[in-house]
Amino acid sequence: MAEKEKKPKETKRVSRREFLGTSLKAGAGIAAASVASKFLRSDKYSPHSIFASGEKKIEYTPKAGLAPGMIGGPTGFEGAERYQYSADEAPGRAVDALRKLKAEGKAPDKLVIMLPPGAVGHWEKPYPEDAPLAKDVFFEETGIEVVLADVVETEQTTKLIQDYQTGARAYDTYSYWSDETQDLAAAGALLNLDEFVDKYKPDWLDPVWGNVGGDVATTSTSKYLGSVYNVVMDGDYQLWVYRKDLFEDPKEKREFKSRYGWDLQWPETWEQLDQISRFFHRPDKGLLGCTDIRNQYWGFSNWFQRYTSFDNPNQYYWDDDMNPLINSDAGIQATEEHVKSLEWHHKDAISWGWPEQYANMTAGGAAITCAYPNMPKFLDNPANPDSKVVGKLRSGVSPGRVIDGVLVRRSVWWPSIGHGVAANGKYPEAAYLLLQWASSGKVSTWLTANPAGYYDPWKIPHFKDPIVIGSYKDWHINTYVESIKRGSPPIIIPGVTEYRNVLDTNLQQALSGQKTSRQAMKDCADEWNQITDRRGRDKQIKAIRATRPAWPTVVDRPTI
Amino acid sequence: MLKKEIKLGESGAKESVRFGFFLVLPALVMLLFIVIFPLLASIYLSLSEWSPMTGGGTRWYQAYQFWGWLSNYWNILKDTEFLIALLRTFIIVTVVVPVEFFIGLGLAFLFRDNFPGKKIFHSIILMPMMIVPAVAGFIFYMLFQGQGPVNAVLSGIFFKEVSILWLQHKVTAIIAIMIADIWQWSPFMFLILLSGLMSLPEDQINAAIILGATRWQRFRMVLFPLMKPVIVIALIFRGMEAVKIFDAIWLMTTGGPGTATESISVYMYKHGFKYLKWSWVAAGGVLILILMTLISMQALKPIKEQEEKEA
Repeated sequence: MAEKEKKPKETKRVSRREFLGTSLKAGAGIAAASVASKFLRSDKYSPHSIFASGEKKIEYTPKAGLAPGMIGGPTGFEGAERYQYSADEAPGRAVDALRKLKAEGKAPDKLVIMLPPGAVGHWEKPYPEDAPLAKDVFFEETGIEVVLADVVETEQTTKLIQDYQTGARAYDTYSYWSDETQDLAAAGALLNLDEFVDKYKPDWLDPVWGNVGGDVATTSTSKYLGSVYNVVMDGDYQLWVYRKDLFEDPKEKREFKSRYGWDLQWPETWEQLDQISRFFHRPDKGLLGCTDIRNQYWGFSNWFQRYTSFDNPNQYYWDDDMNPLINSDAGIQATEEHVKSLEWHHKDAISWGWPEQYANMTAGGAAITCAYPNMPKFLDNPANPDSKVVGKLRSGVSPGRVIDGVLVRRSVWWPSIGHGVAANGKYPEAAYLLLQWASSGKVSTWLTANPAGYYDPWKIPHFKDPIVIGSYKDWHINTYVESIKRGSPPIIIPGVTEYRNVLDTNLQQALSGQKTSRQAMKDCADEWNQITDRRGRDKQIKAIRATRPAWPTVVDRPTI
Repeated sequence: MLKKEIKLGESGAKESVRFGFFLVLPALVMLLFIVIFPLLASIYLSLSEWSPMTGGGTRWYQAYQFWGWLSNYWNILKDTEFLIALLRTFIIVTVVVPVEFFIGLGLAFLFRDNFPGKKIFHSIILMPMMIVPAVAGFIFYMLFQGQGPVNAVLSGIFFKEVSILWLQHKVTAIIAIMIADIWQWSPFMFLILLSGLMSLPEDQINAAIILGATRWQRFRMVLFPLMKPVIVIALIFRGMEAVKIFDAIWLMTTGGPGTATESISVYMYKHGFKYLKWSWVAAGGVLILILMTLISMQALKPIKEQEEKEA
């Protein structure tokens, strides 16, 4: 075949008559084939497929390799049973319903899902090696092909709004940052999923298979005005990682204690974190104190953590009447700390993004950093030849503040990939069922364990799965779970993009010395008020009140 | 008889006009869709307060439900961020365009005469212009890092460590962006001015030489007046392009720190594609269009006056 391809192409002049004749024959052939395919059974499907016994009949023969009582799931690799499901479980219900819809002609042959390029691997790469592809398993069980339409993360919102506005209906499900759910729902682009949730009962709140943080986390990431619009598919929590080798070095411990009067250990408060960061900041020796990022668009996630821990149980962004709370002592101090921390960052900190931060930590260039949960997966990995920190990392829950004797520590989730059903999609029910299947405890565990994509764990079973634990490191799992429980939401009301960008711009102006922290918070609050008035204060008040259940209540007793 | 012939001639002319009209009709229809429709749609949207995020699910053509007359225009003219972005853009243009002009003019005079390796140098000089602007922006982003090559070169020159945070300070960031723009677009000026210079009539220049004019006199009294239309066109072209500066800023600073390097294009992009404020951006676009039309008309005045004089 290869030899054949190498042969130089013969050039032959084709007359107009010959060309037309050939075209007609080819056209007739294609037409005949397309008509015939409607009547002929395709051999493409395996014998256990729902098509094996005819398109209209729903006589499903369980495929080989399934554990007793299971109706679907991946097969063919060690431990596959962990991800298989019965008809009584959420993914089983989704598959069953899709088969029925398909038989009734209410489900399509293809579902087009928008997703970021970094998530394509979860569907298109096998893991473990001998496992089937996730999209093939779905096709085999439902007869519906999953078409993956990747759209770069920063363009997702624009693309989906264009799709909705132009009526192109190019996608059945959209993907976006979960904190934009409310904006997109209010814009009418996302479908209200309450009816389907009631009908098909996903396992998002199940105590065994559900989301860590239960109803609070689900409300935080997925609801708008009390209704579900988003199916969260990612656990982007900002987690703190530090150099264990430095923290446990006897010389460092001695010196630290003599300077600050307390034992060097993972800190509980921001003040303690700043002391440790300052202590380790030795740029002349290639070591930075702390590299939680400060750049435009991403850096404000670290401000959120400092700010939201200012009150027990939470320091909100607005009060119940949509009056900004950031133009306060809490907001000003959080900003001052945010700016002051540049002292122990890299001097290019304002323009440092994730690539610089990850590369620096790979080289052991910082004592502490705050990043996505996947940092240990990549860096504490003997298979990573560039990593100089294999076996040298540990993680800790976000520091906080002691308020009236109680330790308030607030992590933040941001941004987390979410999927929603396109409001004007052609097959909304089938699209929802695909999301229920993919987000179910069992299937999502299998998807998340796959290192070919960047979905991070967020559900209870993820943190018990041996593949996920192996990948994310057992020492990191507890920090991860505890951080989710203390995870405060970012801004999640309609107008999030505008509010967030105003905050980001003002923080950047404070960081670059264009404004004082006080001025930045005042300006931000003023602009937030303008946005609120423009969007309708009453509507926004309703929205902010509906987000209150999304805030965590977990607090601790200080021990240091 | 004569009358009849004339009449026939008129009808022939009419037919000819009609035929001509049909010939240009496809182009007119294309123009209607490419230029007129988007312009009308922009004006329509700009008069509403609609945005895809606040429209409660309505489509852009239903923007009349959120009719606001001139409220967007009024509000955008009160928006300090917009006004500062506009001012900043004009500052950038008034700095980079003259610098690019003088570099281009100097090089054009240099390349008017023959010298060894002229063709190679000619190609090298034009190279920056051929680089994709986004790539050029990224190159300069790397060059201007705190520990990047620019600081390394400066350290070598001054024999002490120079660590200017180019992209993190509002003034140095703008300077870095201007340098990137000048590097990339001076060749464009060079190209236009060189072609203008090469097309000048040699006899007038030779006459000036025979009459004993110095180089400066030849430039001031012969070359410059002859080059004037080319210079005006070059400045207008480059000025109009420079107003749209985007790539270098987006790649180097994304408009930051804060909004310190936000040009009008970056402002429009952010508000249009990030904040999805479509009617707001439409109003901004219409305002910019009016402004640019007025400036271009003003800039083209000397050429028109010269044409009228010559006529």
